[in-house]
Amino acid sequence: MKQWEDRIKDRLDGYEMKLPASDRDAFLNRKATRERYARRRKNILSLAVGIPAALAILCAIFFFVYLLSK
Amino acid sequence: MRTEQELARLCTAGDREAQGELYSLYASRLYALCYRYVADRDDAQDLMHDAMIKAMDSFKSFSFTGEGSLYAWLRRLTVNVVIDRLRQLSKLRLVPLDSTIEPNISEPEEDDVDNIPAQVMLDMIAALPDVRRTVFNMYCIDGFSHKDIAAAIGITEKGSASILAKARTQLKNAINEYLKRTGR
Repeated sequence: MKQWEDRIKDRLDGYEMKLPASDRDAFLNRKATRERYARRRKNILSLAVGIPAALAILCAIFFFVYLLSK
Repeated sequence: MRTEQELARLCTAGDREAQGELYSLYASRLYALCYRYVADRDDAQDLMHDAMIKAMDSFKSFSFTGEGSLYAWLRRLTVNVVIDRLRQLSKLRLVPLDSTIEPNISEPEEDDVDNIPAQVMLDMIAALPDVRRTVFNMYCIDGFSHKDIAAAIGITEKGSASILAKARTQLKNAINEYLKRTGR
């Protein structure tokens, strides 16, 4: 790398820019929205797996009872 | 104030206060980094937020290797977030090489570069076309190799070197023009 580029690197690596006003609020809102979305997704996934699993277990029980009653 | 290692440990455990401290410490640096790549303040803010959220969610993959390793990890993660976004927006498609650029432009002196305010320099880099800006940032400032750049943005190593040469020429031009305009 050339020397003038090294200087640019030294000046800009780690350079801080003033954040817009209310940046932190915007960040916290975004984070909260993501977390809500992630929770909802997890709930939907749990239901999508849980309901068929429960139905399968019920069917197995009914089938077992049916076989015993014969 | 906590040490980097302590901060990382608490963030890994999901401590909200530590996450707030992490944000206070690094947000403005990562914002400048994103701006360097996308040249737009609103996009840079969005990307910085995405990167921070991703970092807070994936702290388990961070391992402390000494002072500065936390920022190095955050920087790498942020660059990856930015590159992914640029790729999604198809902003890294190659443009035809500009043949109008003068090939032999004098190298700026180190002192000349020191006399340019950092924000002006940042704006000069931001003014480069997307692909040139990305390659220049990755290679010259964030320390990626041509091999890494080629893999990240889907070009060849030779292509990366060639784009870097164009970016250098354009930047030298901008620096020389600025120095002439301000009489430095």
